[in-house]
Amino acid sequence: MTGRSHSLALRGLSKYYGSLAAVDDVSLDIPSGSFLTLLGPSGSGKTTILMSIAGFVEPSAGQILLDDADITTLPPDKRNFGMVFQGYALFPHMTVADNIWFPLKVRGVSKANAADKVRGALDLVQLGHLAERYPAQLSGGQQQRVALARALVFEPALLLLDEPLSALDKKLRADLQWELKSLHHRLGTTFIYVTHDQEEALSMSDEIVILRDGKIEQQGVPGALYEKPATRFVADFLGKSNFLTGKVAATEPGRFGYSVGDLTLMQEGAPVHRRVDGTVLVSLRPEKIVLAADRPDTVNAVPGTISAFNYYGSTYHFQVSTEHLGELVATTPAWTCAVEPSIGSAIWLGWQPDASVVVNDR
Amino acid sequence: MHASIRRVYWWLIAPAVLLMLVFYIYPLFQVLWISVTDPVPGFGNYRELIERPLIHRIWLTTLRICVLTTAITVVAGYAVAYAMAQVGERQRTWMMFCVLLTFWLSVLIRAFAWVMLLRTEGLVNTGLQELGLISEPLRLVRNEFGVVVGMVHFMLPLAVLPIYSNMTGIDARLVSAARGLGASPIGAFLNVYLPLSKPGLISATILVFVFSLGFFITPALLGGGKVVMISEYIQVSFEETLRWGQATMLASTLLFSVLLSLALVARFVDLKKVFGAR
Amino acid sequence: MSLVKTLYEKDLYPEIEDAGHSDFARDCVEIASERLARGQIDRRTFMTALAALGALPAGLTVASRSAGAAAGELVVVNWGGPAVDAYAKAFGVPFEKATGVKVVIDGTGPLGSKIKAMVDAKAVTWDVCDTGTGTTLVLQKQGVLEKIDYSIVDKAKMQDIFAYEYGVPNYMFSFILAYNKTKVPSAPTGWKDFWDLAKFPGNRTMRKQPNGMLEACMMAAGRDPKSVYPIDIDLAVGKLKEIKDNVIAWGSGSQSQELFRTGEVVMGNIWHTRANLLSQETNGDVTWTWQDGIVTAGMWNVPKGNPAGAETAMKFIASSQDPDQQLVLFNAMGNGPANPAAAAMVPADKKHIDPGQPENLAVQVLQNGPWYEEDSGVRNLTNDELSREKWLDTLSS
Repeated sequence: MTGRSHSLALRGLSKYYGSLAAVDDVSLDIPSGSFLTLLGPSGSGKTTILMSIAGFVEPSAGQILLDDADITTLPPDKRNFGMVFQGYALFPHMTVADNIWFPLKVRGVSKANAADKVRGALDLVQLGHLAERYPAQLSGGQQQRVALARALVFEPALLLLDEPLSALDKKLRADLQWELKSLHHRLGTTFIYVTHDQEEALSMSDEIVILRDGKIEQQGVPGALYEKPATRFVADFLGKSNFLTGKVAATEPGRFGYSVGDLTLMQEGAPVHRRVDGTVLVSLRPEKIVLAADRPDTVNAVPGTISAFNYYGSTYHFQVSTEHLGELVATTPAWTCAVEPSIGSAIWLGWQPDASVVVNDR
Repeated sequence: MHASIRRVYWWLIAPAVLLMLVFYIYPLFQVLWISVTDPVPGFGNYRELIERPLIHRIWLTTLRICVLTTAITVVAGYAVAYAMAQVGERQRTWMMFCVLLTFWLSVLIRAFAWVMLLRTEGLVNTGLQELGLISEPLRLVRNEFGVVVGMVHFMLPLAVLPIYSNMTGIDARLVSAARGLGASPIGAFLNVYLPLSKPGLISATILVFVFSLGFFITPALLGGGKVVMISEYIQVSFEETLRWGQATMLASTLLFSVLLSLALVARFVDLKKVFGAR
Repeated sequence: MSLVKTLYEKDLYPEIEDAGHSDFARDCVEIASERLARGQIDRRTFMTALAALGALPAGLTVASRSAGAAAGELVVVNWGGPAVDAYAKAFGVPFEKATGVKVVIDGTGPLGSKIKAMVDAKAVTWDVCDTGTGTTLVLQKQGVLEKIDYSIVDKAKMQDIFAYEYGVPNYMFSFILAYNKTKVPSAPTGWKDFWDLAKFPGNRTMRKQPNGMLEACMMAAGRDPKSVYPIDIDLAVGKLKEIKDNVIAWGSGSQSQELFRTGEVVMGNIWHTRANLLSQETNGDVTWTWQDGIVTAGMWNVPKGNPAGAETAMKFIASSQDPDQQLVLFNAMGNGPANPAAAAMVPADKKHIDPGQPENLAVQVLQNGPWYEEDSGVRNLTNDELSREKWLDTLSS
């Protein structure tokens, strides 16, 4: 069941509702066989882009190209894209098998001729034993799998997924993330995935496009986005971050110093995105902070006291009050935690100049 | 449920059951009783059902008109309800108002309005003649055609309301899903929307058909006295000729045919579901 | 089951009762109600009429709702509305004055089915009912009426033929040939013209019930007006069949009027009271001929086992035969006096709407009610029952 893989490109795509731009001049290349995630908060335009690709929303401007063919005005049923809807949109009056048969049926394949493919699709999502059930008789996870099987059975050129896991509980969501990723790997079909959940985006995607107010904020492979967020928005939306603001003090080749009050910290790289008052914004991931009882052996170190902490089994999350930097969040593996987790105890926070990143304050 | 609690519930609904028995079931049995005792005991009245051509004719007329009315009303009602389910809130309010407006008009005024429109010198005939589409005026009223027009008009809200209420419960995304999976607009409608609106269609059909069976004012007014339906004949037998045996026989037969049609429908659909009891 | 309960439009629209069939007696009330509403007559009319009869006795009870009879009371049931006052003043007041028996007019409408139900249940609350010849004959067959005591009621004060075994004429009215002058080439002169579709093209209206129609059919078939009876039902119904496609049937008086108003018919066999109204509102464009009209009567009936006793009821009926009293009713409601002696007392300007005027009677046929009650020889049915079936069968075929 491996469909021929296709690439998709958006060229200057815009969608206006009155004077409001839901999507504002978005251009994007989605390589064949990739798993691309459109990530953003609600109202960022991610769903509108997906619906334009699917053909349910007519763009106000711009083009959609499938392998260089312009499909901007093609009706949805002529695009041959598989789609998994938020809430699954299974047909309640059809059995599981008939739901999966449906896309084949409307393509003129009789039930008998479709039987093998339907069975194959059911096996793909491990639901062979539920073929004659109705959707209402299935659990959420099972319904999700049926929706997937239905969207894949006709070997679509693309698979579009609109927040497919949002209705599921956390554990099931995690399981299905594995399954989706392995499915993508096995099929080689291009997946375009919409979510507001950064963990989903990070765990499954080949590439993530972060959207904000209808525009692309930043795009790249998950690791690069996480490690090198370009803006405060990305740093904050993708994972957690501490933000430090300091005045650039001394510049050396490959690194520079910045001062917060009478404290001077070192940062790798160049002091880009400098603001008019000469300050820069630095994003520091909580897990990159070293916690120690005494001053650690890192270039940057600040003392503080624990104001709150949470235990998650595998990790500790600390809120630490510091004199110069205010409240900082730091996380550490629980089994190697070097400090006594108790409120009020004095500890040190340390990090290397390459642990943090300068971001644009927007 | 605990048995003693259940007993309490039975006692609580007992007054309602009693009322039903006294004011509904008992008179019903009286009707059945008269139909086999008046004027003489036996099934003579029911034999008339088989033997008398007049009664055959009246029954056939009734069924023909009911089936026609039901078919046209349900199709038209479906179209109106579908449009209502698709348009915006403002238009929907207006459409609902127009649909219900006919409910508030007296049946006499409505019938008269149709006569004025459809009569030989009425708007429709003169309009068609001026357009040169017909040379002789058409007979559009005081016949079965006029009766069906008037009845469809009367019944339309009865069809629109259950169908519309059913349609509001249909997830619009299912149609999008069908389109996305490759169904044409018509394919998506036929495979997804239509089957999902079936409960509304069935309740509308039952409602309209059963109501139609009991009609006689509209047929009497628009049929020019020549379209006699079973209810009118029951009234004549009951109030004018005082042949109560015949009247109760016809009323019982009417009741049985309603129950029979419900039973037939129940074989194919879950009526409790259709009427929202479940 | 609740579906079955709402089977009838009647349940949805109580006002439509009048859209169905109606008796002449009920129709008179409808006419008078309309006229009262339009201000064409007012309650003073009654008072003026009463001035001639003498002072009003105190304590006269007029009940417009259903009344239960009390001792020394007589309940007369008619069709409500203005007829309650009119009957009270025409018949109630004089009777009460003469006998001391209080007359209560109950306007709930003496439907035949209600009378039968009352008598069957032995719970009779009505003494005298205002019905028609048809209802009288149907009720008579059901055996729910008191026989008229002609030793109390005076046969001389009525047309012989209306002296039924179980009913006494209260007033007279006619089925006449009405036509729209502007839509016929010349005035039709009788039922033969009514049947002449070539000479008088257009639709006609006839009643949904055969009563008053069969006679016209017989005359159209060539039967001499003097020997219309016994009616040959098949022959009459056959005549209907000839013009059936051009016939629109009326159920109630107002429907017959409406058909002329909307221009759907050019002529019709309708009640003279409705023809008169049409003539007034069209300034004479719609008019009628008494020629070959069928005169029939409104009837007093007494339900079997009436509370005031049959004798008191008979005395009331006898009292109502007084021509002065009948004239009061004629002036108030337009019901033609049943007592021939009243004919001469009708004011000159109203003689043309009184079917009982000698010159009008001379060209009309008096309906032979008893023929309707005779056995038809088919399935134990009376002529009335058989002709109703065949009439409806033909109309609806």
